[in-house]
Amino acid sequence: MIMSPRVRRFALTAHVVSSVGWLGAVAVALALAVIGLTSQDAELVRSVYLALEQVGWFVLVPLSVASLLTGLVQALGTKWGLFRHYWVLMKLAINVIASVVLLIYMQTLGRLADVAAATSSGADLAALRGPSPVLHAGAALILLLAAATLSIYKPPGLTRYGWRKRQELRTASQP
Amino acid sequence: MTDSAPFSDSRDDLAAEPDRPSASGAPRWVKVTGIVVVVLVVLLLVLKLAGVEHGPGRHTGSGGSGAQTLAFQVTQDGAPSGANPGGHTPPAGVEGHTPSAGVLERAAPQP
Repeated sequence: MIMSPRVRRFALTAHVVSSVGWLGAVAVALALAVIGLTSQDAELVRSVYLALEQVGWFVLVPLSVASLLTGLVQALGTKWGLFRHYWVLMKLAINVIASVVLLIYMQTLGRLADVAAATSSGADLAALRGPSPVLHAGAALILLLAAATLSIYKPPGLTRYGWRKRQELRTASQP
Repeated sequence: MTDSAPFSDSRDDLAAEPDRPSASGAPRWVKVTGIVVVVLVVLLLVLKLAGVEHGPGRHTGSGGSGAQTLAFQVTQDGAPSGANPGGHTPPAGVEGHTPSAGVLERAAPQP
């Protein structure tokens, strides 16, 4: 079903806002993770791991789900389709993989927050530090930047399914 | 700017798309991306086989010395002197708990 221009514009706005918002939130998570890895202030490190879990559940996860859903609406409600163009297909893969990994990784962030909450002030948090949050946030940032780039450049390339659908449309439109 | 073409560069008319797929299949940028992804996946597998933990497994009880050790270390920081961080053996009944459960149990105020 093709959306009307007005609805399409609204859906596009929702998709851009949620996707760019997700990108920005991941950048914030990466900054927090770097602080947690490098800071010498034990209280700050503890706060970072507590904050990361909250940022995850209240910002990252909702924005990732919103980006995925609005992207599906955008693809299925326009003539771009979901499986017709490689760039759309690749964006879908990026979004699904990033969302699934995020949901799985929330368990880790929850456990890190548990450990941080269980410590008293001044405790040695050296063991709490680890490169894992930095690596995950960095990888997510790269993936989401790639998705944003695909959205802007829209590199050409029809899938076999897309080519077939185009042929069908052309055949149907001919008298 | 009209409703039918809200963005002049959005290629909504799909005019730039080829009429048929190229003889070699997917475009070059798709192939290059695929190769990069395969290389990264292989690299991750090699790292995993080499014993480098990076994900949730690092923080699960079954993951070994990750957060399970960490939980005991952290709680022992507040324990009386004589505690031996890193050398602690969990008491019977605690083994197999997830780190968070271990933390919660051990985070209880000690007499």
